[in-house]
Amino acid sequence: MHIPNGFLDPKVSTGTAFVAAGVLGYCIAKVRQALSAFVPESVLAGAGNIGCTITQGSKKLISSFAENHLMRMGAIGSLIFAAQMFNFPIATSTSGHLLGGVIAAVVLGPFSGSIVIAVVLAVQSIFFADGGIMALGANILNMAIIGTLAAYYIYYIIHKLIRNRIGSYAGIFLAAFFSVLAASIACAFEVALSGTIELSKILPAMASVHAKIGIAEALITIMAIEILKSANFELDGTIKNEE
Amino acid sequence: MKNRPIKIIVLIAVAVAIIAALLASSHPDGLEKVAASLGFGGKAKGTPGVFIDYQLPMFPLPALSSALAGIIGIIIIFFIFRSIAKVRHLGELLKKLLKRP
Repeated sequence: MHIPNGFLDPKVSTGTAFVAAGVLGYCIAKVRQALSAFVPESVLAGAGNIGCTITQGSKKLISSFAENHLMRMGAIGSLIFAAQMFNFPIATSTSGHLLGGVIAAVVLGPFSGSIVIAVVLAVQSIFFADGGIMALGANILNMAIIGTLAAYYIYYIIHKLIRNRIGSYAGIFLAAFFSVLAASIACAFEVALSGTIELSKILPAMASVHAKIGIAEALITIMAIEILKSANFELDGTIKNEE
Repeated sequence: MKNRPIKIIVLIAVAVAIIAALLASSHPDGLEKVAASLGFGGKAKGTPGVFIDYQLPMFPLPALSSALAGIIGIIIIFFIFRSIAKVRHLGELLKKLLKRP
């Protein structure tokens, strides 16, 4: 549901761009904090005064950890980019493709996941003309923030309530389903607010198509997360930085 | 060997892009379909881009062209994060070198 140029008016484009930039900035700050807080800064500062062995060792630990996390983000980003190219038929003469937000958020943590999807959307928009540059803010808001960051907490709450495998599957299923549905509803509101079409027409049309795509998204997301987990690719909760 | 899973994931991504190039449905996606059936599809303005519709410019074989465009996209995204990772690493190294008397 990449919105092309021309569907949004300047008001909605800039408004969504500001919201998207603000939330993304917060995500970047959270990820930076998580990556650098792995060794307390006070320890580093103190060690620097005494001798360089501890400092060098811990700094190396931080940077190699941060480096590895960023490489994981790149790997998951490229996987989701490739998966988004895979349009599958959903109804007569309609197709859908993976959003991937919940995959990124569950595997990398919600803030890193959100950044990854935003980068994928930016690359698609700049190099592949998939999603307009003027609509990039709206697309990031719909897919990287609503469809990734917000959707993650559906999984998080269900997984906290039902602490077993079923809870994890149910959480992933519902989070992935609602990520697509909520993103499509947000998209409908943005297009309607721009005066392109009446809300009463676009909202039911978008929601009904994307409810079907959402079921496919949910099934693919469960499979993908299982595969990534078995490849030992999931991070543990402390690094995920959920709150 | 810490980077092994990362390499595997990127290789899977390449495989997915190749399969997508061969098998992906060419029907309009959800939003395009809704736009067309409600009659505002014409408002979409084409954007400039190097690889429009995931195709290399002026390349004769559509499936191969799409697979290559996908692989280029994978490389772009992976290298964005890789360069951030390496720059961070470089920053730490520089700090260490500068602090040394």
